[in-house]
Amino acid sequence: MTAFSFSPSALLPIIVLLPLLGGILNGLFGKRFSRQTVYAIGSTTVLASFLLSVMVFQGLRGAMVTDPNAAFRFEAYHWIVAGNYSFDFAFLADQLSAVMLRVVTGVGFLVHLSTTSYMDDDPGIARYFAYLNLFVFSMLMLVLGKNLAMLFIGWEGVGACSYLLIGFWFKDMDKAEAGQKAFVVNRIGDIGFVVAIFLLLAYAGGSVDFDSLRAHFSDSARAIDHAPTITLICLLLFVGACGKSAQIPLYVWLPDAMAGPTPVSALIHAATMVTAGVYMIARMNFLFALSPHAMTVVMMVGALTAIFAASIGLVQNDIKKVLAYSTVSQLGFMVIAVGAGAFAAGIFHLFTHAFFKACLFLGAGAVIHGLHHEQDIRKMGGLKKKMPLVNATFLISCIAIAGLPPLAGFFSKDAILAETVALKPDAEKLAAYYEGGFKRQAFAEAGAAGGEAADMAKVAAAEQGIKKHYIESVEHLGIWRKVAFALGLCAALMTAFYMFRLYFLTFTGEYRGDHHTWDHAHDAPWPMGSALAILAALSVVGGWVGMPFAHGHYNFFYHWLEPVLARGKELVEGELAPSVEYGLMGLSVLVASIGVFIAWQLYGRGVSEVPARIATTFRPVYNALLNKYYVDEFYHAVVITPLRAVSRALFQVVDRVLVDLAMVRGPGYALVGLSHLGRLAQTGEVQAYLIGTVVGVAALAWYLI
Amino acid sequence: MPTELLLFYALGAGAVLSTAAMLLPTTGRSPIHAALLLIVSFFFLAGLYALLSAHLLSILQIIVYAGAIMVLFTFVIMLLNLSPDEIREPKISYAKMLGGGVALFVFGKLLNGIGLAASAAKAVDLTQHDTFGTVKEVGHMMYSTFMVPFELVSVLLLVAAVGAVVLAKKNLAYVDRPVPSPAEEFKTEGHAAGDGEAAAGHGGHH
Amino acid sequence: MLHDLALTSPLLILLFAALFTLVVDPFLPSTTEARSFWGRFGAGTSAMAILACAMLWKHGGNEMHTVAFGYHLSASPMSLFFTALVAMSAMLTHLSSPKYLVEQGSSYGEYYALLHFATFGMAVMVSSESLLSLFIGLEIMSMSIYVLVAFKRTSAASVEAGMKYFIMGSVASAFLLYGMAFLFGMSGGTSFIEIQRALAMPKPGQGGWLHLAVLMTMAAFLFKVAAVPFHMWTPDAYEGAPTPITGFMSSGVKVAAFGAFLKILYAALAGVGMSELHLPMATMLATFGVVTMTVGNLLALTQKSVKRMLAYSAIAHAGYLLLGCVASVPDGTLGAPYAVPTGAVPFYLVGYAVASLAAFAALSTVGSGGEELTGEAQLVGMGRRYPFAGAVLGLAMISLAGVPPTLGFFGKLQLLRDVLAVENGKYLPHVIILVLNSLVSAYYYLRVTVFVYMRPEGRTEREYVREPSLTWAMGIAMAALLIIGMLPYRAMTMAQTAGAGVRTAVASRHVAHELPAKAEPAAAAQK
Repeated sequence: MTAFSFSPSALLPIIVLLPLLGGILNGLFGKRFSRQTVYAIGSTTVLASFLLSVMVFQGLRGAMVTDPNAAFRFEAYHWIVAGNYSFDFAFLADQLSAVMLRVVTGVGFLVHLSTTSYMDDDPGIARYFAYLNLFVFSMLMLVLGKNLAMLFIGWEGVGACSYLLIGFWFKDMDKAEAGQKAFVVNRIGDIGFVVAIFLLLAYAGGSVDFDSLRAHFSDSARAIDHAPTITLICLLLFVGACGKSAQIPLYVWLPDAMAGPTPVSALIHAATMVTAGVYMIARMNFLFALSPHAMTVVMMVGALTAIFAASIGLVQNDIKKVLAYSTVSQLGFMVIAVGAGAFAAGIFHLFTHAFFKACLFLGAGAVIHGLHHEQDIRKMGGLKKKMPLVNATFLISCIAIAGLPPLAGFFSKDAILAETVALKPDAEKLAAYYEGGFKRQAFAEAGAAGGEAADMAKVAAAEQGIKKHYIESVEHLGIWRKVAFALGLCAALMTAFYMFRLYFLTFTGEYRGDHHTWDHAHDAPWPMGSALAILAALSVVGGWVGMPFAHGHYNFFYHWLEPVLARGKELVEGELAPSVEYGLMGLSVLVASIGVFIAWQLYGRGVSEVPARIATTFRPVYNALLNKYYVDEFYHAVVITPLRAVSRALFQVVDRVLVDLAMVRGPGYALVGLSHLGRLAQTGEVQAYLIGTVVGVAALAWYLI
Repeated sequence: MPTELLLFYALGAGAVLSTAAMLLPTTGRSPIHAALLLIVSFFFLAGLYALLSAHLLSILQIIVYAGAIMVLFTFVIMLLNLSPDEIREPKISYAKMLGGGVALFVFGKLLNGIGLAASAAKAVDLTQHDTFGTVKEVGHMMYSTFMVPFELVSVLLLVAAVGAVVLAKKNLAYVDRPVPSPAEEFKTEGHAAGDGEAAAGHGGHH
Repeated sequence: MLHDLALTSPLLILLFAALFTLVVDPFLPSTTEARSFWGRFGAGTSAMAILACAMLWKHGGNEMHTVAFGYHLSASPMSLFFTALVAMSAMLTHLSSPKYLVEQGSSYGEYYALLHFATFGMAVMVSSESLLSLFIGLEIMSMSIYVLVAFKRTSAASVEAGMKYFIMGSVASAFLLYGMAFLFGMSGGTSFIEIQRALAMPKPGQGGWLHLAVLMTMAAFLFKVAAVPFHMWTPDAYEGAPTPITGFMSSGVKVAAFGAFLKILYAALAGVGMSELHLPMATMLATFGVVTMTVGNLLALTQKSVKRMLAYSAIAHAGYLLLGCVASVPDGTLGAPYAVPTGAVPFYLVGYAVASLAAFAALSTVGSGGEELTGEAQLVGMGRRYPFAGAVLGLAMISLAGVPPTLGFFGKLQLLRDVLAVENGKYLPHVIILVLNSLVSAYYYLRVTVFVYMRPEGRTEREYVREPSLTWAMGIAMAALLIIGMLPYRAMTMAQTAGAGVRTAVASRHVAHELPAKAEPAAAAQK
């Protein structure tokens, strides 16, 4: 790689700013540009970013030859320096960022490309491209940010863009509301994230720079050695991740977010933005690995989300809703991985999922576009004949997501499940890290028990006790890994089933819609077709970089991420015997095949009565699934309605009581006076204003004389 | 100095009483009486200034306030020519009671504060020079130490003059379309804020 | 003398611009173009004033003798910072006025002259080193603003607003004068340094007079910054005034009032003011701040007219700023009991002024032909039909609400931090109330963006006023919001210097070893 005579660091700001430039151009002048110009500006800026990203990636490979921990850093300027706190405007491209960079710009470009044919009749195309470019810009800020503050800016930016794009057709009230829902739910998550950032600022030396944080938390002498505090910070960060990555209980916005244009769903709600939470946890692996308790919570939330969403996906009839729940479920898998300490596997699944899920969404987009915005799979069928290309790519992606070898999804999903049972936190090392904290606690306990002169032996004994208790509590967490594994396996079965149900209902059998639409149905136009083809190809080969034993005896993908994840790996260890690993592989293939087989039995062989019969037999279950477990209704009843009631009550109190009622006659003269003043302010009499002034002077006089 | 003290109390009482007389129901109904009482009050104040050796100030008080400004006041009152029926009966409202009460409170507090401050303060005689308060003295200061504020006051007066012209002149020169004067506006449209729209519409016809 | 003129060059530029406008205007043809020339001229001269400030700032520093004209005016970092800010407000107001005035049928040259005069008055206020110049500056400003508020002579609302503002303002001026009289009587001098010295060596009985003086002065300033319960004139005056003037009032007037307030608090009353030796002044300010922000926000919640809502929001921001006034640090130049304000208030004012100007500039694009349409419902469709103005309005609202990464956010952040730092979190409850308040305020600010962007448009398609200089005004404001929002560090440091510079004039005076020339005026006259 001697071709790089310059440091690729300088490319980082260019990579980030190019989409911003595109966004600004299209946003400000888009109305004066022709359609083609808008397309060209929108797509080429992202393409250029992608090419530069590849250069950075290669540069990084080159640099790693000499320094295994190489990373590119670019410091633009000191953003805020306030006392001890400082935020720099700086970019970091390490191995993790480089992977994300390629995913974001690569999939981003393909989505831009295919949008040109999906949105060909929309008048707001310039605005749309501007938002999309701004999204890519924010996402790049997120993955390239060198500190949590930068990450947070990107985090908020992608949220805002997603909000704007979901509500893109804002004239439709439902869609505007879906946008608002996404906004509100994400705010809840953000509160946790922000509080976590502030806690880190307060406890970890006034910097939220990733490098310095990692240094801090690798060295027990400098960082927080109080286990509950770290657990709290991790959990708060995870609340943020829950919002963005659509985990229970904050997942509700993602299915509704499908109101946006389908390419948007492909990019934002499948491939990139929603994985930000997973990325953030992997990025903070050095912190999460310190708290097995928090990790277990993360893992279990992921597992529950995976199976919960998968079960809802079983019965949905809207093509995008199925994919949406499938996304939630797959995100659950990624969260299982990062929660189990298999950070590399999580990122690996993120990587492969980006390809096949984007492909599925774009395929769905092609179907929807081809059928004049029909989204109900009960009115589809037999599209194989009309859309051969879409059919082929969709099938490949379905196989990939179902987890059948040798496609991408198999390797990543298998790695997650295998590592979930294989790994376990190294309690001894953790105990060594927390030693200082234990000592202090022991002193406090012994001191409380034994008066002012705590004798050393007693303290040592107390410390031993605390340590032992801690190690035991960590080891007791092991059982949850088995639960998560089981749930994950069930979710994998369901995934295979509903994906193939979707495929069979959409592409095989007889067409069930009206004939006018059928006659006009067409295959994807070339920009979308090529994007589909590329993504399908990547869905096939994308997983090979992470094949367990292909590259000699090490896994290329894992090896690549090693420098970033080293600390996490150090604290969570474990390995499976090859025989067990092959056994688990066999198991997941078996499970996936069963799922596919059932789907074929029920839907693949023409019209069958069986699904309907099952639905009637298990009507309550079916209804619960069809209505998504009534979670929306539950939130509405438990959260939204009371909130509205409270705000209405407040309105009544403030408006009616304070303004109207107290005006008539109230017991306290002060209250009466105040409300009078308020009313007089409305009528606009100067005398009343003067009374206000005199009251103010009286208040001052009260204070001063 | 009993004579000085005596004079001070006499003048002070005159000023206070003539001001208070304006609030009496009989005079309160007649603006012109109130204005004349104000002039009386100004004269008493001028006397107080003279007592403090502020000769120039005392003269200016009579010339400017009691003279020029009050003439303007009376002119305005006469031009308005309000008949007694047009002057509203004073109404007692909550707001007024509150205002009165609070004003009394402030007054008491101030009185208290002044009393406290005065009881502890030592009198300082600033008038040890014979020239204190004379035209020469004041003039000298105005053109030396206080030159900048003096110049600034001239800007202030200019602003006031321009402002008065802007607000009151019937037609400002050069206008693209004729605009009715505000005086006309008020005659036809009343004064409430809510009438703004009607007033604007009215303006369009001219 | 020449030195003095150089030091006051920003003021002189503004004054000459005013006089030039006044004198030349009658000779211009009576066309719309001629009138709108004054808008550009005004913007240019204001920009020159800013430039002059920048040059003085650059050549400033501690060695420079910053006091000008017999200690009535100064060119301290604080004066320069605030003068530049005031001139910036004037510049944007000049740019956004011409088309609006033509549409409202009040396009006269006097408007621009008065605008200059008002700016000049503000500059005098924030550059003053004595009570006299401060008061006269305040009066020049107020007098011009009264007339400008009533400038739409055909609108009863406008004239009424001007009249009310005038009456209320006169009362405030009376209070201020009364307070200043006490200060003068107590210290025997009008300049801040004399007052401060007298306070440092109190004579028996001075305390009582001080209480009265502070009472009156505070009342006047609380009125000028529209603190509750002195705020009641604000909504009427803001709503009735021509929209660009409303913007000017909520930016320039507020900046000048707070600049002068800081001078009184930290330069004149230094030593007794904020360090609570004699008076619970800081606690009092904080209390007024909290009450003001709460009442302002509560009343803003229910407003339907955006202009009126912004008036209440101005009250709320005055509350934040009042709380910010207590944020101080010990003065390094003179030692212990003295304090200087931190950069919190100056920096917050930058964000607030720019955002309000942006908002009002965008609002003046709505409505034409003598009509002013600033109800919420009338903004519907703005985001689509005039995207630029919609974006500017939206951004201004976001900044006012204090959402990162805009300027408003950093202003609030800095303010909170500095207030919290005072006496180890003495004002923590106040800060919590502030945070709650800004949460409340987000509701009504963001509601405006909802109307601009997310409500379906009715059948009537509104026309918007589009004009190059107005576009410039919005563009400059937007750029400032974004750029300073992205790179707040430098502006923060400058604000810090400005805050610390409140006593530079006093300090430089110590350096010069000059005794006050007029402590004994009669004696001076006799020599």
